[in-house]
Amino acid sequence: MNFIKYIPLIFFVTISIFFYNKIKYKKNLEPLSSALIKKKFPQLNIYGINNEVDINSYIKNRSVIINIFASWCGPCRIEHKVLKRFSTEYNIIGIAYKDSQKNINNFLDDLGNPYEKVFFDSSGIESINLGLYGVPETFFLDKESIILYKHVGPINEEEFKKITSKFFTNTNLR
Amino acid sequence: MLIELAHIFLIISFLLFSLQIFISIDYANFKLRYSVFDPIKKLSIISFILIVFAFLILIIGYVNSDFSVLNVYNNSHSNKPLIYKISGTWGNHEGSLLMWLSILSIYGLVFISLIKRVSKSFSFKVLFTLGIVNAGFIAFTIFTSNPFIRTFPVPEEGLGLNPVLQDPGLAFHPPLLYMGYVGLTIPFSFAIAALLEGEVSSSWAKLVRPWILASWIFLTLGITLGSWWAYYELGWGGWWFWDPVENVSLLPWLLTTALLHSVRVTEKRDRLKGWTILLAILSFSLTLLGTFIVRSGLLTSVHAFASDPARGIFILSFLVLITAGSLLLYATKLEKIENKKSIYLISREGGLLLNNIFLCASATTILIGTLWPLIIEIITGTDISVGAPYFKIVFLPLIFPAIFLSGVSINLNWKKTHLEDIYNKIWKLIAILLFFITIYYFLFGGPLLILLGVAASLWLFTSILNDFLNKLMEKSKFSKIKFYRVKKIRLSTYGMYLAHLGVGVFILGVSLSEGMKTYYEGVKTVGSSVQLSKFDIKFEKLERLKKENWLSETGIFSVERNEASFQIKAERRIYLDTGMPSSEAGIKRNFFSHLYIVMGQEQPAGSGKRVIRVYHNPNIILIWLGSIIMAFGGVLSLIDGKFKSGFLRKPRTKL
Repeated sequence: MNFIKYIPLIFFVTISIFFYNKIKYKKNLEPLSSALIKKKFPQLNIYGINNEVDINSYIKNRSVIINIFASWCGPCRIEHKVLKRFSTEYNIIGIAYKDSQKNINNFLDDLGNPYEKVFFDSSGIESINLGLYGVPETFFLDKESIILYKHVGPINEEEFKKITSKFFTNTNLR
Repeated sequence: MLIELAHIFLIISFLLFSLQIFISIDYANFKLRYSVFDPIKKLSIISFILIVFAFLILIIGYVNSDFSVLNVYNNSHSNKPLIYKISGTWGNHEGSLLMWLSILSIYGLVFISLIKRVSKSFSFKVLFTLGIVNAGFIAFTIFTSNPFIRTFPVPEEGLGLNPVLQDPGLAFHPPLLYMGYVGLTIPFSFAIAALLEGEVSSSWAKLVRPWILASWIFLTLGITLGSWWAYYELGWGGWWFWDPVENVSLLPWLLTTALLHSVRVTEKRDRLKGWTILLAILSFSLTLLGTFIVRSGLLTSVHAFASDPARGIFILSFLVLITAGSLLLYATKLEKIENKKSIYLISREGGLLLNNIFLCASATTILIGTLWPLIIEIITGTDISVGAPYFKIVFLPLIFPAIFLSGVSINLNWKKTHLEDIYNKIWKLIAILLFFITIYYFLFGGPLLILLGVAASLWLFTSILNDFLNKLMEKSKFSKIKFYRVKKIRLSTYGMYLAHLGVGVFILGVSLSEGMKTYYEGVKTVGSSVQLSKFDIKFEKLERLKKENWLSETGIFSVERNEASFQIKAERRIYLDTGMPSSEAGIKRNFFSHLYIVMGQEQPAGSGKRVIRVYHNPNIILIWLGSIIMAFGGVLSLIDGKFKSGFLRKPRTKL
């Protein structure tokens, strides 16, 4: 009967081993549960400079990465170099959130421009349809404009590579 | 500048705690070095105060919307009302950890202020344990979740607080819950100190009980407030969802409830010592486990904080270090503290023991249900989730006997009782109960489970009444009730009555609201109407408004019932700073019942069609009322003078 007093200890250690395994081999890339995953990118009323084209017709039939950012956003600056690093490989499109053209131009002149094109949501109202939580956020879309993955917060190089290698196979790229 | 000062305070307090732990041990003899008691006491006071200051400075940063601090930038916004700027401080992972630390510091300061009542060697061990817990948590804060990191360039505007957290209920839910969780650190430290001393005495039990009671009161209130908030803010129409995080908050509560009863046996009858110590260790470990599950993002839940594997590993290591260490200490010292006195099953101590077993068994089933998805995923690799049906099936059969036994135990004496005496005491009780159940059945009928719930609460009410009358009567005769005895009954006994009365009210609320609730869900446009139980509800019109930091759509519904009519407004908000939607249910309440309307988003846009959900929840308020009565009973017990012998005055026997 002497071992009974060790039962709490043994039970606890067993649970801990399970926990450790779970953290260590945690499934990566579980998309943040968003109502938009696997759905079509919503119709947004936002345009590029001089209102010449709206975002939905621009991304039609192309696989794109849409990054929502702002010049006033600190983490966006950190993320910026990651986007620049991949700007030649992928079609990266920017949505400037609650920002002016002048500030965006200064921002891109300062840090370089990874975006193929920048669209403006100056009021911030349209981005509500994307379920925007905070800037920056990045959406990965296939040719049919279906949202494959959504990343919240600044993305780093490693995560970017993981996501693109998982979702962007050669067939749906470009 | 202030922020850097707070950062330095936190680092200094970490160094001071490390220093304390380092100098507390006499390495040559592998013993604690009691000679350094006074400096350690002073160091503790200084570090506790530094932590509280660091937290206050972070609050100032939030109030001033200092977005150069990354934590403030991520979780606040300049156009928020002041109260949510303040509550935003603990509405996030880093800030809440700092609040955790400062609450622990305040508990520590209270303990030190009462230190004269306890022997030096005992308080030294308590301070030593507190020091280890503190150092661990500060290290966690500094190295993985530092709230004082600056960001450059300074952003003009913050990202805003998660809108569902912008609510008065939620502003106070975390502090109350943390006061409960953190409070359990003290019973834990007392248990470790007692194990190290190798002695658990009745005066130890007397000393630790107020701390357990205080944590229990805060936990009860915190969980109640959380449930209340979920009920009306999340718009789910329920009050408990068996969400993993809810479960991990319930586990310490169940164990603390068990602990509260077993420590009473230790105090009165000098028994169940090992069990009491084990419960004190486990209830604290479960709060750590809860923290681990919530902060590592291990289980998905509405409460999940931003997850980070590094944090998970850190808390897990800390959890293993503390819990495995204490359980090992427990196993090695058990024989020394436990005496061989036997327990009479037919006595109050026997009833409390059985009650304890049921409480712990129900806690175990909840723990298993909560962790089951994790275990299955590791073994088979498939994702499963354990939902409310499981918990209802396993929890109810265990909690009913526990409630039945509480009724019996209230009426029993300490020490051995003869079966005959019990019969003499409770036959009236059973007669009254049967009478009420019959009346209820003929009046309302209803499913068996509901009937059982009502019976359980009536059982508690009558048990309390029976014991109360027995205390007033001479020789168990109704004719000899002496009302002057009302004053002779101890305040703590009234506290006990009240707490159990609260449990009864709670169960009554659950049974009645579950049994009588009605629900409607369907697509409606402006102008159409719904009928639900006795109500005629018409969707009158829709109003759009722009408020300080949100856009709102308000549906106005007119309700008619028995000629009386009134209006209900159900609102949907879209917060401009984060763009997140949130629904504010419209609730019409009389004191006991709620009529509750939630309005969905217009789908598809422009069609005017919305999903409308209507709930009628009769008597639901009793659920929260019962919990508050429970907590109030705890407060009565806590202010009873008898604790003074262990808590405020010098103990009669030296520890």
